[in-house]
Amino acid sequence: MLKIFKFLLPFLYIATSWMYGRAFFKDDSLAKRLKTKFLVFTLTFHFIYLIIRTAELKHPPVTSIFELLCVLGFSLSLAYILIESMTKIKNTGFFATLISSLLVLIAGIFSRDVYGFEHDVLKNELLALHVTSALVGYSAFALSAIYGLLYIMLYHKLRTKTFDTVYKNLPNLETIESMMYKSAIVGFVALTLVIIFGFIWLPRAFENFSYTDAKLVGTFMIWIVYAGGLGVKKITSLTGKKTALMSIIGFILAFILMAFANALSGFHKFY
Amino acid sequence: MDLVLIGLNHKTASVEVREKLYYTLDEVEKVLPEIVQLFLKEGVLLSTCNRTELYGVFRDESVKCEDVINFLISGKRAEDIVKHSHFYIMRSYDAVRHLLEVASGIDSMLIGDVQILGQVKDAYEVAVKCGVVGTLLHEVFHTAFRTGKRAKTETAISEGAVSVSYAAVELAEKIFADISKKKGLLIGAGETAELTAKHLVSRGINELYIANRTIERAEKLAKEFNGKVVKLDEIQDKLGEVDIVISSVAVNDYILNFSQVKSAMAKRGNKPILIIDIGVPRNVDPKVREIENVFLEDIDSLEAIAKANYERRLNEIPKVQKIIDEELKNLIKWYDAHQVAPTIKLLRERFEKIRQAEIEKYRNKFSPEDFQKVDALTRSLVNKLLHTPTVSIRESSNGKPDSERIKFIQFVRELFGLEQK
Repeated sequence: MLKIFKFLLPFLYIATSWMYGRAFFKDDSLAKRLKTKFLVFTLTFHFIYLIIRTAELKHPPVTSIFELLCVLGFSLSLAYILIESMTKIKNTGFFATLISSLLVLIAGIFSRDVYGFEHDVLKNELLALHVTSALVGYSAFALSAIYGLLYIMLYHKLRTKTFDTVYKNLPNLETIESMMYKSAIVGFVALTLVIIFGFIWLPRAFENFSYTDAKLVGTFMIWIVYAGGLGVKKITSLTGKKTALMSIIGFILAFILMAFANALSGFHKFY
Repeated sequence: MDLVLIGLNHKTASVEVREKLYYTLDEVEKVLPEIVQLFLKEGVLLSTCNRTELYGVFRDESVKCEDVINFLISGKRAEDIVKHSHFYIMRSYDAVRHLLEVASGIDSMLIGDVQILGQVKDAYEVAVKCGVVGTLLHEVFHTAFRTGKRAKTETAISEGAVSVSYAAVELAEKIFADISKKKGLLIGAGETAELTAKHLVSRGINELYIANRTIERAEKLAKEFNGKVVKLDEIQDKLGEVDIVISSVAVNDYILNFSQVKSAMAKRGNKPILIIDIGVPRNVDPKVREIENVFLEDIDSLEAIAKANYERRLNEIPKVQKIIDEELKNLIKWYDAHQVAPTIKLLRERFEKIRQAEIEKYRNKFSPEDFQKVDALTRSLVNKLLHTPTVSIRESSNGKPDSERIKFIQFVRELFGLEQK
């Protein structure tokens, strides 16, 4: 049962992403009609999978990096669909669902189905807060980067007078910029919480806790990058294309730093 | 169906011909009762700058289309320009389909034109006011209104700007989230620039400054658009303040050069600005485009937007045709239901059902032989009762126009509670 779910999930995300892509790039009317319903179905399917998995394996899906990637894929698409239902931005889910597809696919290939907690230290409320904040934070950073990308796309199309289907389907620059900024703020606040919860919990949980843990340093560097970016924007009233580029670069940096940190230290290097 | 359509439009007649045969609503109100009196039992005259079409039911068989055309031409004293060859004649469902195409905007010169549905409604209301709309035209025109509305809401047939001036507003709305929080600057005055300003004002632009070489002209425009006049040499100052600039001045030198815009951008904190240059020769140095967050667009951009939108509208035509097919099918169903034969059949079925239900209740109270007699008796009774209504309904169709028959059949249906299947 669990295997079937795990196998089907990436395909569902890819199909949803394909539909959003058809609607966005080709104005396909069938895809336009079905895309949101399809995403709701995929998210429901994913949610059920997470519940079943938690019940079956007797631990929440947050105990390994790949489990987390799977939940991150879920939370990113969930955040997107909330934005879609609350704003007039209906056609830009392609990028969010594409990233979700990628995350879920990687998680599907690499995650192992371990029964129970591999480490007792992971049974902790502070950890739950730490991990939830991390999920919210990185989803928000990803969304912010997606809006940054959309901004650059529309900016480029306006500059080059390319008034095609993609141009038509994009919301206006101001709205994109505001979404990009708000997402970055949410991400930054969440990352701050990640660090705070981490600092409280880690020294308590691990005897051999070290401030030189790669992931700790990495997270802190990401925090600095975003704090710097947001600060510069606030102080210099920076607006337009540069902020979009900053958002994209910020996310890429976060991605690289996290990939490095994981390669160096595994989940956290203390166990 | 007795419906006849006699008309001309942009496909069959040039603008010189169309303007000759154009009737204002006031004129329609005067001439329509006369047309109806001479030729028709009921009628609607639709006249816009792109078409003049008369929808109606002929008074009798002696009425000739040529006579109606002659009347329409002579009424406007247009014999020397308007010819019979400019007209088309359609009958029955062809005429209905044409009206549905008109109402949904796919027969317009500019596909998806939203005005036409209102014009069709106006024409119908004038005819109602004149008391010359019967049951048939009532149903046909209401089908047209419904079709037009559905085409607008269910398809993208009227979406996107297809005129250059609207394209400019659409462009502004692609950059800014809320025009009502933005300020505009109109430099010079040309038809497109003025129209654009007008659209921006209708979108509630926060403030509109107007600069022009002749100050009187600027003042006149400012009054019209509720704007403020600025002198040409104040443009530089205002540039730091406004978000949308529309320029159309006939000058040989650039009104806005690179350094002016560059310093204005610094002044406005590098916030995006849209500059639409529709002057010939160009009013704004094209190099301005290189400055970050400056969107410099010209008449070519606006035309490209309008063209792309128009192509998208053309792609929507099959969807509108599908709606027209559906609505036409419903109208045919309605029309058929108001024919004589199905109504008589329905009436007889209804009585037979009542008779059977009633005698069934008493089946056990009679011997089989007696039951047969009661069955025959009631059957004969029902037949006799229905004889006169049946004859009346049949006679209602003899030589009478659709509208009268439909009205009578409608009455019969209501009287006997005959549901349309």
